[in-house]
Amino acid sequence: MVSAFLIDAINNPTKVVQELYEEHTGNIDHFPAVVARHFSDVFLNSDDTLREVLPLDVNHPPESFTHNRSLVRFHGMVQDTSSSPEMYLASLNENKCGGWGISQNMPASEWPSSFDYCDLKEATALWAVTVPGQTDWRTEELTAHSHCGSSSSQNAPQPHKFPVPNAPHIGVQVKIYDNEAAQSLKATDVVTFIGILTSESLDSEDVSSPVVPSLHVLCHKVQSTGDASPREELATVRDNLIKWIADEALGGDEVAAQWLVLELSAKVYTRTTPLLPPSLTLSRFPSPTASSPALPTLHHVLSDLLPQYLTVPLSLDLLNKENFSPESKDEDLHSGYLQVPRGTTLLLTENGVQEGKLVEKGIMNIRAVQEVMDAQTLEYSFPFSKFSFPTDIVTIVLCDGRKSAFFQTGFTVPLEMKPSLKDNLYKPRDQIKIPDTVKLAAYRSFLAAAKQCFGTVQVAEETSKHIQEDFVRQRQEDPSITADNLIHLMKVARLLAASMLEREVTVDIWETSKRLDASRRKRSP
Amino acid sequence: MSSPPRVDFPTSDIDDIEMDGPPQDGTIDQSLSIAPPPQRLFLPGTPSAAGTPARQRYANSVSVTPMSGIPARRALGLSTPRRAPRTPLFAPGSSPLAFPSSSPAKTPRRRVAIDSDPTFPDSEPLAFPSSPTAALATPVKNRRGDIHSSLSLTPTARRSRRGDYNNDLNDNLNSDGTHLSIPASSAPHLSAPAAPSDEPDEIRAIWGTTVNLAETMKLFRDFLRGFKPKYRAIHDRQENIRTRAFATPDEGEVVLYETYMRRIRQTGETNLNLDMINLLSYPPCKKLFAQLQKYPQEVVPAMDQILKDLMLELADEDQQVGMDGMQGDQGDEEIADIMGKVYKVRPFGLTAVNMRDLNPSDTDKLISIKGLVIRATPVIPDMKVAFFRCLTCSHTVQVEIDRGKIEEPARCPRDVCGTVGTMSLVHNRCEFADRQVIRLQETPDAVPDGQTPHTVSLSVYDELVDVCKPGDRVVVTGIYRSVPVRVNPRQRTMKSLFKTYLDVVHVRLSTGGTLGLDRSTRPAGGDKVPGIGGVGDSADDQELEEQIAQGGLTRKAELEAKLIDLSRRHDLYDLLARSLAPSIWEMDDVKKGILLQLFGGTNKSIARGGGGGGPRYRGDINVLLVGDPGTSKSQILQYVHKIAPRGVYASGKGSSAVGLTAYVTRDPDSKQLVLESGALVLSDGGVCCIDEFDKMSDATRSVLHEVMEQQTVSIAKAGIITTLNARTSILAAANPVESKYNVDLPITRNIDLPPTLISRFDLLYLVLDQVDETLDRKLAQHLVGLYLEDAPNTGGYDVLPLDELSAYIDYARTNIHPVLSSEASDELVASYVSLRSIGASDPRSSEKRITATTRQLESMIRLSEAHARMRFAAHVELQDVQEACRLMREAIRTSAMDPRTGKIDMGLLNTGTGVGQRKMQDDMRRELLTMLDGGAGKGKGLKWGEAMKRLADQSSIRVDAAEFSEVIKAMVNEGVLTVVGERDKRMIRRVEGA
Repeated sequence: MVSAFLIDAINNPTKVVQELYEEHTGNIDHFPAVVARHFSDVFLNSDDTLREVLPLDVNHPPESFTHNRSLVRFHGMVQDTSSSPEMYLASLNENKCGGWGISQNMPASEWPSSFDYCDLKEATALWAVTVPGQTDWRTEELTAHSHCGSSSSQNAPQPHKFPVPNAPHIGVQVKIYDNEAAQSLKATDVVTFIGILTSESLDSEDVSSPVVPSLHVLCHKVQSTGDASPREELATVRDNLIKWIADEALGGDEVAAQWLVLELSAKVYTRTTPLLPPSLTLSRFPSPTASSPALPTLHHVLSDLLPQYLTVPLSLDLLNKENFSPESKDEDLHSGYLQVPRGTTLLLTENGVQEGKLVEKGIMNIRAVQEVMDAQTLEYSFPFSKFSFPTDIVTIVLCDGRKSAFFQTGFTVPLEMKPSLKDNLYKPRDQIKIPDTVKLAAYRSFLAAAKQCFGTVQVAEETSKHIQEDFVRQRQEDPSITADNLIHLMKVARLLAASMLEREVTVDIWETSKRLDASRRKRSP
Repeated sequence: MSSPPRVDFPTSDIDDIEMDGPPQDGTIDQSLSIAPPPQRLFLPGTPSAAGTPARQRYANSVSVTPMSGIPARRALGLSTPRRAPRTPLFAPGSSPLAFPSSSPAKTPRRRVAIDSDPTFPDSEPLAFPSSPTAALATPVKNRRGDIHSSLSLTPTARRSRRGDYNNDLNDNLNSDGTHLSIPASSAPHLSAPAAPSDEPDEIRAIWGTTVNLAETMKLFRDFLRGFKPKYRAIHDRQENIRTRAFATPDEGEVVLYETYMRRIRQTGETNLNLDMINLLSYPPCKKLFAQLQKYPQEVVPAMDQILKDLMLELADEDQQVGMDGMQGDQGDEEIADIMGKVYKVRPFGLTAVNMRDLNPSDTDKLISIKGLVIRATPVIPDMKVAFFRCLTCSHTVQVEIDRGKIEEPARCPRDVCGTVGTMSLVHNRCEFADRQVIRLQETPDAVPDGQTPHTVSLSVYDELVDVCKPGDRVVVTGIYRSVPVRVNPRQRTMKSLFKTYLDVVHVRLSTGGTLGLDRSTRPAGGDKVPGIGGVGDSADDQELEEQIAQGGLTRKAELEAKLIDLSRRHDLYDLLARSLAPSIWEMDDVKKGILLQLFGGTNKSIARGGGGGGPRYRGDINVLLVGDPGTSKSQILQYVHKIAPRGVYASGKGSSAVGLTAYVTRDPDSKQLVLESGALVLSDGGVCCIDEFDKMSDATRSVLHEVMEQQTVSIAKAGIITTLNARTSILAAANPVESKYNVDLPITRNIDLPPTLISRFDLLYLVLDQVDETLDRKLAQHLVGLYLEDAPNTGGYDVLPLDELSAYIDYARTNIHPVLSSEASDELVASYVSLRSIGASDPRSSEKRITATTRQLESMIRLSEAHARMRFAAHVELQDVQEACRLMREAIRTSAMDPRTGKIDMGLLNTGTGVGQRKMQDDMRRELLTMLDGGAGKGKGLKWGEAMKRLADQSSIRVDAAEFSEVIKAMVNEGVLTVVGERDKRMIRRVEGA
């Protein structure tokens, strides 16, 4: 169903805006909202119409749009909301509409001879980048536009504003005219923007500032975190998934795989009493040999399973040089590895770390990661002040030793490989037995469902009684058991319930989680 | 000048114009004041008047411009461009007042323009003298960078006697004579009506508005002369703001601004800070408040004008009265001085809005915002008046800045020349003013959740330049501007975009902004904002904070009100204590101790001491937690680290005390990579939490000795020796030596820490893990409640959320500085004496134990101060001291109790050996000597193990190996014994003859 509106809007969005403006003259205050409503109606109601719009992404960089002022959609992460709002003249001569990049420049002669300060309106300006850590399958799902093979962008402007250094990405200056809707956009929000693509200088007041792609937004939609996928009978998937992960990526260690799945089910539950996703260390994870690929197989497996996933191969060099937390320099917010959208899984591999000196920056980076693990907050540094932003990042650490050299994680699971499957840990992607699409889709939606489930897990009255009795009894037997153990076990029980897609922690689950934890404990020397 | 001006000269009849103030005893033309002079000035028929008769030439006015014309021009219905006076002068066609050509006017007037150079008949001076038109002179022109006024009032329209004096001396050539002869007294009445006042009333209206400028000026005048603090008090009461009580009824009756004006005169200041709330509370001026807010560009210059008038008036009056420092010549000098100055009114006190809430409709209005200065440019010379010279005929023209722009004349304004494009700028004749651009960023409390902070540009001028530095938190009042952006400065193409900035009229450094920093660690009086007149006479900050609170808009203000409310709760202490780490069960005393640590005592420095204010006594409270593993010590530390101002968390293992670098090394034992991190004692002004204190290396710990008492860190590294401040409280946690606390051993034996270090902790808590079924059950309940319920049950009762607690502590630390009341100090003395005498008064013991030392006294003082601070109390009272003593006693009881005697003994902590232990060592020594001297080992000595065994047999209590070797060592040192052999084969021998 391709409506006339749609065609019009795609072919000449500027004209549509101008027509709308003529219809709504005199209502200049609410005009941006009118535009947003109109275009949302046209595009955002269904995925089909949305897909009619050309995507702006790594495969379709701004340079590939030869047409000036074409309509594009951009699925990106809000990186920086600190640029000052832009003030524009909303009403120009001859009843022409201002804003949306229309009549950016005009000779002084055309300048309205008298203008009213009331005609000045504000547009929110922010910087958005390609969603960091968005895995390929997810991108394809969103784009659903055949790769037309256009060369990917080599040098995106403002590369320091993308969390992952040297990764291909798109950075766009986004101008949102519907201020009220724009107010709610936060850093690391993932948003789909539809707007008119132009290129403008970054700072309108400064002539020397670089010219960057600018998106004059007509309408936008914030991605809701919990895509409610139907909770079918996915529970059987769980065992298959664990087996698959164990066989393909963890040297056949199903216990470790089970912990991994638990970890992947976690998200931020409440912050008031911190119930945050724990972090996981897979210790005794051997370093790659010279011949094997540097990235563990786990990397490929996880990127096939998760929508948002990022590997950070730690090394002293990386720790000392790269930013992990965002920092504002010269009023420009530089990004860092940890500035990723909520729900991202982070795999930190310590295998590449050698002996050496860690400078101040490195320590700050380690602290930032630890802070994310412990409190799920990330500090953005601004001159003379720091702002703490909430995050929701699941962290998994791979290390060679008994425990991580840098981080204190919630769980540490030493890996016990089957000797026959030792080579599994590092193998190139093409050697992985990837299950058929249906199965893979089931795995994906299982993990999504588990994550969602974690937010709803409850503890029944009798279970909590049982737990209390249990704790008292254990302590009678072994005084070395402390409150910390209890807290730890309760976290495990919750995760276990979630990964089984249960809504409640039952006595059964409690006992299972105790056994699970005991088996983990047995491995740790 | 002969006739003394009457104070209430009736000159200003109602329709007389703005500044015809009472002491109007000048000449006729002077009394004409603002509106009339232009007529005289520019009417072609009266050329002589054009020289602007006697306008304070002596004021060695650099800039000379006729500014008085506007109202008149408006009145005449001329299409007044924003900068009125310019046009008629330079655009010949546009005004009937224009001079036909510059030449006739040239010579007579030129002298005025050339500062202090009275004669120059020739027309080609090297310095490019101003062309006559430009020279049309007015006195010191109040050209404020922050106010791009469309309305220029001659700063002083009024004449005072003194003025005439000087003027006459100065430029009688110019004068048309009238003002010389006409005696003051008679003038006003005649002159006012006589003025060619064909202009109707709207001349006094601000262009495009209905605001009557004359009325505005009159109102402000009333205000300055009539405002008394009592009005403010009434206003505040209506708004339900806590007001400061007046000490005497008289205090409320002072004419506040007259006091300020006198102070301005005495100090030579030129700025008057005007609290706009005062305008609002002075009933006749309510309207003025709104006008000032809406039309600052017009109203502020008018106010400046009035201020100057009143300054003169007041000086005059004071001279009449013969006030101190104003008699005779001295007074004359003062008045002359005032005449030469430009006075500026700097309004402030608007409710500060968030910079996000500024919108285009605020353009050109007076607004106030708060923020953090993140960047400031160096001082920029800002061109105020451009000096152009025609390349063809050398005619010179001055052009003033108008709304931030200087319009370059396209053609020579001289009719005879009129060449296009020949005007070139002569830099060294232009006038410049100081300007600075500042970037102001939102403060964390104003930024919506999840967003990054915005910034705005501020332009500050003149006195305000360099007042604030990057890092300061400020409240600025200014005029919001939006100006179109040019695509390129060289082109005339414009963008449909505007840039916005603020022209600042008032800056207030907000001291409350340095939350989290101990204010006593900052230099006092380092920052000074120019200007006289604050909110009240005293308690500036306090009141301003309250004003802001009154708006109820800022989150911070709301929070403050809430905190103060909170501080009045009777169960405050318990509430705060249980809010501290609510997930940790029980340990109330420990929490209370840590709570007081967070508040901290006040830092004191003894002014009478040696240079630099003398020694500084620390107010920081140090706490040590010792206990079994798994007793949530680390959790407490983590928690404190989160809420404490500048909290730093470090694990003792592998920490170095200073520096921020760390090393990744391979552990020699396990061959694993380990991280050795820095322990960052650099949490200056905050709390440093050190976990695993006992595992810290000795070298690092030794640094802490210095930190904990002197509060400095000395570094000698790479040839640089330096001392850094480390004014930090330390909260440390340590495990007992054998990981489990041995209740039979004294604490010093349980912790592997030097006693000197232990004694530096004000509070030392033992956190022991006891297995007890009921306790365990409760603990489990607590935890399950915390972690499993849907609505987490944090202890079941109300607790403060983390941020609120943190805010409360911050607030108390910054704002409350309690001092000891006499009652409290008596109690402190009594408590100390009683604590000390616990040991001495025990009749059963023969030896004296030290139960408290002066260190404990200091600790008690600090703790009671912290307790008072927690209550938001200005004085330390009895209850504070009592609680401090109770906490001390609790802590001493657990830490300094000699496990063998059950008695408190500070010696244990101070020297590591308690009295009981010392007594036992003496016994041991005696026994050993008897053993060696008599019996078996005579001459040959005794085997080590043998001696111990025999001692143990004799003794009723266990003989500790360490203690035994201690005794031996002491005796060897004394030369009584020698030890030969190694390890098990050691022999103890008596030294012969010793």
